[in-house]
Parts: sequence; structure tokens; C-alpha cells
Amino acid sequence: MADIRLPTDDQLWLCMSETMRSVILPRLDDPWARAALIRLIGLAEFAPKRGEDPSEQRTSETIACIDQLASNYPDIAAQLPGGWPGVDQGQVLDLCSQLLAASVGDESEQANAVRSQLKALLKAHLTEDFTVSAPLITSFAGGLNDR
Amino acid sequence: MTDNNIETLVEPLSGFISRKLEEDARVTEVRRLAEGHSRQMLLIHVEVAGAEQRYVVRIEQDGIFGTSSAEEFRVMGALHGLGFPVAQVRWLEDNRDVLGEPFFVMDFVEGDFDNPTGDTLKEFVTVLDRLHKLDWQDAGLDFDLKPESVEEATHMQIDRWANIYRDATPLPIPLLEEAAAWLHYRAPASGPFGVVHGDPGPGNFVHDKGEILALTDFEFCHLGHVYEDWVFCAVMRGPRSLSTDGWIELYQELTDTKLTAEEWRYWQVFNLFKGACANTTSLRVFCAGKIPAPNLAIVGTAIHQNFVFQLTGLISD
Repeated sequence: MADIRLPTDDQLWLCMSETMRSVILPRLDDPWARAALIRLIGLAEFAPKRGEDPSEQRTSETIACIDQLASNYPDIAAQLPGGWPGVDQGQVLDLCSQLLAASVGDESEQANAVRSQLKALLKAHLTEDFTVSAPLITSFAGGLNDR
Repeated sequence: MTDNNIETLVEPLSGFISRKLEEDARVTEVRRLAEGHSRQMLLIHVEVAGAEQRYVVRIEQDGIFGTSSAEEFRVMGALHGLGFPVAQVRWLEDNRDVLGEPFFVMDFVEGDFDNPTGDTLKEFVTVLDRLHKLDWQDAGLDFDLKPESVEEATHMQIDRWANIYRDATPLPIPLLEEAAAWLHYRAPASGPFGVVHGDPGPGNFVHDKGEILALTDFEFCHLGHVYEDWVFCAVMRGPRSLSTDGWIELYQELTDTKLTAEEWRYWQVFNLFKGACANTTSLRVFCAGKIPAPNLAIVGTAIHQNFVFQLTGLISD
């Protein structure tokens, strides 16, 4: 069911960001306060861009990727925890950690497949997050991002 | 602790310093000295028997970066005793009764606030090289971790930072676990073993007229492979004063240090890994709600992700 409350969260975030930018910041002289406010503006603009929590979707994608690897490599199938694929996010990430760490220094076909498939997927998830958060680096350094 | 309430520290600090000096001391002014994410740095003016003294108070922030004031205090004290350009530390308060966090007090060293350039950077490289080559055993420096070789030191540091991130996050971060394994696998078996500052470069030393008056921020100081420092300075802290290539030239000219491309890559990955692990503690503290400061939210998200992104790229190359 859609949330029909008005104003929306996005409108409230916009109100905060715009007011901090145009009303408060120009009247602020203290350098520490200005630095904090600019970062706050960055966070107020970051928050509405994050969207829905992607954890469930990513866990499903990761399970599918590991299933694919397990179907080709018995060593990986043997590492699947009990109850697989009905496991929690922590167990999935634990298994990813073990597989990636074990592939370091290993040039076997299996290790290369872990890197080219599983690592690539995890990097894609990181890239999604970093694409949204990257403007905060400008805020952190004291700059205002383009609206 | 937020910036708004530093005035509330006047009374407890006055009492603390009076007890340490065993005479009446009154803090007459307190202000933020520098931005630190893991430590609050305050300059205080203290009136004692009609005379004014200035000190710096370095206050922990709920365990951010997982470093210890006690070790930092001990190392700084020993280095100062050896005549190194390090502020004289005065008093360590390990418990939280006084300010709510562990802290220590040191002398204020006044310097030039301009970004260091030219000869100042040369002098800094020379001082850092001296630190690296210090006979720490003879000097009586006492570190929490006591490796016996450069190889052991590197493995210890990788484990140290990995454990700091593991303690700070509710879920494993596979790309960091891969980085830890990569660093262990490629850890150098030999190399210059010495006192590593851990966070060296412009912004972490006080200077004036080309002279280095004090190296600061010893919270990451440890025994290890000194290339960690050279790469950190040239890539992470130094570029605001000099290009990375400029630093490399200085290292070669002044210390005869020249890293291979593979060594350079290793220590870049190491420093990014260290930073990415340390940054998870900022998110932990922010999410716990005790210090809801915007810098901690950014360090724990964008800065952390940036480090993981970069190190993953370097490992994949």
C-alpha cells in the first residue's frame, strides 16, 4: 500500500537541504560550524537517493551466483552451509568471504571463476552503493555538490 | 561529544589539572584545535599561580579507529625523551570518569598553519626517516604489538586491522576478507623494519620556518615495514603539498629509498585496507547514536566504500 502522507520524505529532505544551503550557510561564519553544515547538507541530499534497502535482492543474486559456481565445481558445492539456499545474509557473506579468500594466489579454473563471477557481482554491488554515496566525498572536503 | 558542549569541559579539566599539578589551576579558554575523526583535539589556556599555560587535550571518541591513548601517550613520551620533535605529554587519564572518554594532555606546540612546502617537506622526510631508523629497543619504546621481524609485523598489522573491522560490523565484508588474504599471501619476507608512524604527512606535523617542531598523531604508530609510511604519505596525506612523483623523488634524494612498482602496489593496498577497516568503526559509533556527527556518517559510508573500491581495483589489476 502506498504511503499517502504528505509531505513525502523526499520533500522533507529537500526542504532541509535547501534551507541549510540558502538560509543558514550564508549566515554562518564559524569554520567548524560551516564544515559540519556542509556535510549535513551532503547527508540530507544523500539520504533520499539511497532508495530501498537492496539487501534482500543482493542476497538472492549472490545465492544464484554461488549456485551456478557450485553446479560447476564440486569443491564449492561441498562448502555450502546446511540449509542452503535457505540461509541468512550473514551466512551468504561468510561463504563469499571464504571463497574469495581461498582464491587468492590460486590460478585454477575454479578460482578464476570465483573471481570473474562472484567477485564481479560483489564489485557491482559496491559500485551501486558508491555511485550514490560518492558526492559525500565532496561534502567531506568542504564543497557543495551541484543540485 | 559535540562541539557545542566543549565549554562544559572547563570545570572537569580545571579539577583534573589542579590535581595533577597539586595546585589551583583554572581553565580560562577552550577551543577546538584541529579536526580529528578519532580524537577530539582541544587547545586549553590554563591559569596557574597567575601565569598562563597552554596545553592540548586529546580525547578519544568511543573507540573510533580502534587505537589506544595509552600506547600513544607512552610512545610519544619515549620519543620526546629521546629528543625527537614530539610534544611533551603530561598526563594520561585512562578511565572515563573525568571527560567521559580516555584522554591525555600534552604541551601545545605553536607553528605555522600554512600548508608546508619546499624545504619544510625535505626536513619532514629527513625526520620521518630518522624515526624509521630509530633503534627502538635501545630507546625503550614499548608497543602493544611486539613482532620480531618485518614479516611477522606485516602479518600482525593485517590481522589487527581485519579484527578491528570484524568487531565493528554486524556482517562480513567479503572484498575486505579477500584483501586481507591477498596481503597475507604477498606479505614481504624482508625489508626495512622500524618504527612506523602510521599516518605521516602534512597536517600531522607542526612546522615553522622550515623546521619540524613536532610530529603529531601517533595513534597508528607501530613496529613494521617502513614502506607503509612512505606510500601513505605520498599517496594519501601528502598530495595536498606535493605530487606523488615529487614525494618519490624526495625519498630517493634524501633517504635513498626507491620502491619497485610491486612494492608500491602492495603498500597502497595495505594502506587502503587499513583505512577501510578503521573507517568501519566510525559507522559503528555513528549508528550507536552516541556521537551522531556528520563526519562519522561520511567516513563510515562514502570514504569507506571509496577505499574498498580502490583496493579492489588494485588487487584485480
